[in-house]
Amino acid sequence: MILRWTTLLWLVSFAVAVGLVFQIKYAVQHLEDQLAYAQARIHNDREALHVLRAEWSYLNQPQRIARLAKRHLEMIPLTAPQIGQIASLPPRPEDMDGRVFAEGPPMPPRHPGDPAGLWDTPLPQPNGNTIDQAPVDQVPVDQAPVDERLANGRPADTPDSIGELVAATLRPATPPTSSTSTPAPLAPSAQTPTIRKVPEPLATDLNRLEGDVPRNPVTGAPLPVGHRTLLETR
Amino acid sequence: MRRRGETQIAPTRPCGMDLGQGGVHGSWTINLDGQRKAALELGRTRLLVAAAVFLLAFFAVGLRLADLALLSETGEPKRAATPSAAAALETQRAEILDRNGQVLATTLPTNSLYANPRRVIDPQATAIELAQALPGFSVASLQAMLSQDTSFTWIKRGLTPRETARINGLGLPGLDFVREERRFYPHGHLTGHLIGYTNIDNVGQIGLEASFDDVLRGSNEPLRSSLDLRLQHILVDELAEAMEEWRGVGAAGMVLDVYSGEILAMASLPLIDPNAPRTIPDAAFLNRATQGVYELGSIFKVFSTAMALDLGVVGLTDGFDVTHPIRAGGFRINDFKPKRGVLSIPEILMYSSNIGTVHMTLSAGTEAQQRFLGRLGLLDPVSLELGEVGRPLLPRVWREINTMTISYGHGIAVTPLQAARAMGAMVNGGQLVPTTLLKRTRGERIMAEQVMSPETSQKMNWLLRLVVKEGTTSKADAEGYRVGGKTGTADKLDPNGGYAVDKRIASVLSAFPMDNPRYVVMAMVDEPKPTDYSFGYATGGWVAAPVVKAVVERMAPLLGIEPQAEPEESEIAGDTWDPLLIPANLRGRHVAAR
Repeated sequence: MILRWTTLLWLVSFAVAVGLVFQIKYAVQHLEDQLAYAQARIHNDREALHVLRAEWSYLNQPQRIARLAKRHLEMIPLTAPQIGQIASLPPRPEDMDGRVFAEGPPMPPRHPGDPAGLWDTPLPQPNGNTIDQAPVDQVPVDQAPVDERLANGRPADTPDSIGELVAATLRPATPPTSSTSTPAPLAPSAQTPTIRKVPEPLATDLNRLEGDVPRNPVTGAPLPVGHRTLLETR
Repeated sequence: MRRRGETQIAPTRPCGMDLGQGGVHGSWTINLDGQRKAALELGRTRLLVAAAVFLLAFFAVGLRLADLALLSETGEPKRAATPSAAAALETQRAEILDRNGQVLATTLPTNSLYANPRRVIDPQATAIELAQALPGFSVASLQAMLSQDTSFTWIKRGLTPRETARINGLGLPGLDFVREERRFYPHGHLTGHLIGYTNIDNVGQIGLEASFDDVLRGSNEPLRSSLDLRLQHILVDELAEAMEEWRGVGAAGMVLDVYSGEILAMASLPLIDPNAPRTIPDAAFLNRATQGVYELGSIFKVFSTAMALDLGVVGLTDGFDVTHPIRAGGFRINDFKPKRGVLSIPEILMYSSNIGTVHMTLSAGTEAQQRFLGRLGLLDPVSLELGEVGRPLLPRVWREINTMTISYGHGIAVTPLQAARAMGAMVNGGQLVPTTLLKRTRGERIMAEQVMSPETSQKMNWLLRLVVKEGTTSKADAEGYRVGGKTGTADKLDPNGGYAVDKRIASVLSAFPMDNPRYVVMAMVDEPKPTDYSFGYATGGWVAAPVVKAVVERMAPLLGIEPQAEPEESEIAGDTWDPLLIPANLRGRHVAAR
């Protein structure tokens, strides 16, 4: 009778509140444990980072790097003449397709679409003999297709600095024997078409080394250079 | 049961207290009198006060609850407030970095190993296992340590992480670690003199560690030095090679930025290893670049020429007769390689003529020389962030004979750093920039002092380049990088008085690229001995100039300086002067006061 419903209600709500408070307390405790764990790990990681930074700096000692580079790399220090500007480079031969050069008629295009019948006639050689088949990279100059951009043509003796530059870069690629050793017979027979050689692409380092490169036994790919040196020095 | 006889019950409500239902008369009150009544009243008042206090307290709690729950703007934080993982570890002493962020000095948390010998079960077995894990310890000494009758003995302090792991792996009883912090210098002797080192209590002893001791302890912010580790390595490498080749007792060098005054590299050989300060011999402590003072010899001719040109007492086309030695006060001033006839000012510098320089300086006078050298900062110690800074040695009384000898670098001893700073002013348009070992921030305003006119500086640039192209410093000519500079060879003072016969200082002070000078490079070798192929010479041009060349060739690509061909000096038709004697950029102008 005195223990009324309200009292009961209060008791129940009190019990519920107590239960909730404890539940929250334990949840917070759990979270705090997690936080402490995470913070401890962050601290450890930070400490490791700190030590690793010192170690990185230690391993980056310039004298050590220099020693390793000397042992494992096939490189020598850069010298001043090796440094240049892009602007001072001569244009690449590929970019010169179909241009007129100062010394003579235009160079054949690098990848000529085969004009009909052009390759059938045997080419006369400077010494008068003919050969059965023209090498692919030798095109008689006067039969070469003229670039329509230059169809009007400029006089052959117009100074063309770019053309001369390119010609200078091309010259070493032509075999010096046939064309330069016999210039005299060429002069009287002006009609004889001169042969210009289109340069082969320069052999890259990899191509040159192709033969004796140690290869990966599985893939067949050439092993990297550094790897090779390692094997040799051991 | 209440006894009615003693109390008077009335249906009144004193103090408004309702005592509830009861009795036959419905609500009733108890009225007491006398002592009892007074006691009850007191109790009642106390109850009231207590109730009021509690009411207030509950009210306050309620208010605070409402404030927290309803009014406070900030909700529960989503993340606990922890500093980010990228932030640096808090250590007792901050790091020192080079200008590119490489660690030069850091504080590492280390473990120190101690033992409690009373808990060690088998000292002999423990000692054997420990000796394997810790190189440098003998089994016998360890066993002696572990057999003591104490409860604490240090075994090794400052273990490396590897050693810690190894000892941990042994799992020996009676051993334990203590966390300590230790200063570590990853680049060791490379920056030994400049960074310095600390003692076991992490207190800075020399170098930046000493001069910035408070700063380093006070914050966790790393100290950024102006040094560039790569240049430092190049400089040390080349200097060490030259010192070995010429069997010198020491060497020094530096690379200075002429506009900011930052010291990009500075070395003094023999080097010191800050990781093992106890092993440093006393002689190696001297920082030859900032502390040692030397008579630098012909390098001073650069300053003398600049003075004469700046004051206008001579012009570039003037000349002096160098045929006859100068006699003054019992001294005879002669040239190392005597020439005959009249030499022009550029030729005097080119062929490093003492006689010509003395004539030139005498035409300006003693006072002018003192004032000019003072403005170049050659008479006072340099202010630098190092304790190890030398004070120049000056003549006590500055007579005319002193003026003469000082004009070619004898009778005055300065630190290489002073000379390099003055060289910076020669080439950067005439501004003396304060030197620093700390990295300057971009856009920082530097208090530079104009010590000579920009025109004189321009002439000096041309002259210095000429000396390398045609004169005594030709071995310093790094192809494409337009080096300009002057050699100096000075006999060292003999402790017994006078000059020692074959002990000298060979040095080169240079700058590059001379069309717009950016860096001063100095190299000096102490007491070089002639080699078989140097024809008996051990002069600056033979010893130090190749060092400058090699350093410039190696550092210029790193600093992004483009090699260029020499700018051509076009000749002007109808010029009555020898066109070689006037720099191209000055031609057509009024060159100098005659």
